[in-house]
Amino acid sequence: MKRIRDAINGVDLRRFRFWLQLFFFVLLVYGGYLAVNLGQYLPTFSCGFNDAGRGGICYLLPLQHQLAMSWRTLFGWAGLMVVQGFLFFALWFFVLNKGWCGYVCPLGTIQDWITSLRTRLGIRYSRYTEGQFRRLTLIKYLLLALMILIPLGIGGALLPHDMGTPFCDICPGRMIIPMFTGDFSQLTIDFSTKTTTVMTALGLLVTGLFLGGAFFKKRFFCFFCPMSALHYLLSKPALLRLKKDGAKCTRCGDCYRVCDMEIREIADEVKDPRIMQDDCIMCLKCVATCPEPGALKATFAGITLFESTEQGFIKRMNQGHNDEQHPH
Amino acid sequence: MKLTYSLLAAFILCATQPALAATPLWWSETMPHPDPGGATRHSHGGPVEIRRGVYYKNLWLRSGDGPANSSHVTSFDGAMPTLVSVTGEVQEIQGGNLHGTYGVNFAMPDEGFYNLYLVAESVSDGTRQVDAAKSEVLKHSCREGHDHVKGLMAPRHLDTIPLELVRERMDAESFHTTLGFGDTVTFQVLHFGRPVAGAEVTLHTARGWRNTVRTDDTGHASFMMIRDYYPPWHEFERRYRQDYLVTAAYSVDGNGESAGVPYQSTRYLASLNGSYYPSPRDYRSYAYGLLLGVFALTVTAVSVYFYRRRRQRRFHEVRFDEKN
Ligand code: SF4
Ligand code: SF4
Ligand code: SF4
Repeated sequence: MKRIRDAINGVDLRRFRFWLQLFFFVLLVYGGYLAVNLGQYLPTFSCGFNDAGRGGICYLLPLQHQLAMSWRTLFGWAGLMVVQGFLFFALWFFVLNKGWCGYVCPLGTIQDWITSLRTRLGIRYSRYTEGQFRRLTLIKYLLLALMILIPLGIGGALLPHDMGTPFCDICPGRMIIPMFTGDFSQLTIDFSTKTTTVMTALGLLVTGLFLGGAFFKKRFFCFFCPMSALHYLLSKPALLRLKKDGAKCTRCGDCYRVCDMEIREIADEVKDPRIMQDDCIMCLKCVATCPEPGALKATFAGITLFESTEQGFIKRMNQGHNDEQHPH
Repeated sequence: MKLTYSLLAAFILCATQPALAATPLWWSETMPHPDPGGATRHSHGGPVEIRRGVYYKNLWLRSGDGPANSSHVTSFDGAMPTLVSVTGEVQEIQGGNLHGTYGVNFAMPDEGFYNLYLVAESVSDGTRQVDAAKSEVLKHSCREGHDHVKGLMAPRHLDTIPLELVRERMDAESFHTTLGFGDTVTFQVLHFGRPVAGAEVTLHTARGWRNTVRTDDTGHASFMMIRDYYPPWHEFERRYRQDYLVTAAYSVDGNGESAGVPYQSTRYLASLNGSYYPSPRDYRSYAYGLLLGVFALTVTAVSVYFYRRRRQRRFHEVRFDEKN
């Protein structure tokens, strides 16, 4: 048992994550060709616009569709369907918590691949200042609110109908993910109405920004992602958890420096064991980088799956130095 | 002299022209007058009424050469319309006065295609005319999900229908696929369930354009939908639904009697209605899309570059090695 535990704690997380992310990417982006269908309530960007290849559908698409129903229907029998959809979404989410972002989300994986490309090119990355971080992190809640309010406004005939899925219109997933199955049709501006012209133009601007941003800033888009905001509202009771034993933490700051999402609390917080913050993507890089045994750990239904150990830290440090060049 | 030639030419023209056939009967989604109660909703299968979560379809019988030249039939005393449900159940349904003219209203509880038929027969000048009007109606609500769609896509026909038009499915067609300008639509003509070669198939668009072709050996005839909608830009609607009508005619020689009236030949006339929309090619632009995307990418890259240069001059950063 101890040997298995040591092996897990000493795992080369970078490689493990790469392969698991690749597996989920293939499952969600090409699974449709193999008749994989995980339903339409997935808590991750398995884009519904990828008609041919999708292995399931991102929940944000049906959610916006449902909320745009006429108020009479929505607040009548169809309301139950919205609740049912949300429950399915929550059930999926409870299993992996934000691990959906760190390991499953195709758009997150694409950002990690862009980061690898930048690293290989030897270009350094950017970080936000603390002030920028505090302000930017609120944008995702604003987007979440708009994503709910705009369809509701359409259902009440207060807004034009061609704005039906406002977040999908500007989501880079809509443009980028279908391209992996050879569908480039989303890279167009729709001139049919003023609203669609504006929304599709915004979508392409965001896509350009996404590609550029993700190149210089790790997980650039995840800071603004309304799915992440929706996740956080549900994350407390989830089964997979990130925990910190503050008594064992020396506040060396390694976890903060390795965190793609620049979560300062991961190093600074020593009182609350439930350390997960709203931006966290549960990549577990912090656990892998922590040199203090048992200071950080990932648990599933209370059982420790992966925790920081000295041996694991040393092993990964050596691996890191052996197979990567320095970007500077 | 000139007059004699003209008369001769007119005579030859009349002699070679086939006798003018009676206009076809066909099913249409268009109300005889604007929706009075506003009860109609738009769905993937066209206009429907939704009552307690169940979709109901209204169809009206019309007569004439295409949507632009047809009138609603006020009353009809012939055979009852036949409805084939998604599950394959065949039943006769009652037609009658629907908002002023003859029509039918039926429930569509299941997801998939419903086929409605009406067969009428008459004899005139020794020719029996058999009309077989068909409508293929889709019931789909996205709320029912999309897992079941593939299994319900195949077109169906009835072997008891004298002449039937069957619309072939397009590549990768789903419940969301619409026919657009520039798309090719293919029909098969069946005579009591068997393909007919050489039948005359005519497609009429909403504004009156038409084209006639003959079926090949397997009973197939194809048309490319033409652009048939030219509004000013601010009035353009990408979901502008237009009706088309396709008819097939096929004649068979042979004596017989219909309701006591003798005839020497039979002319079968099948009709099928459908709809088409503006093509995305008409209103979507790759050029502007890519231009905007590349513009945003370039601005981001250039901004980061200058931001970094500005900051580098002020102080020397000590950066953490991201690799460890
Ligand atoms: S466009 Fe974005 S939000 Fe919409 S379905 Fe695709 S991934 Fe989800
Ligand atoms: S936060 Fe990032 S990884 Fe998570 S759903 Fe959004 S884009 Fe995907
Ligand atoms: S806090 Fe840890 S698990 Fe969360 S994003 Fe940062 S490194 Fe990943």
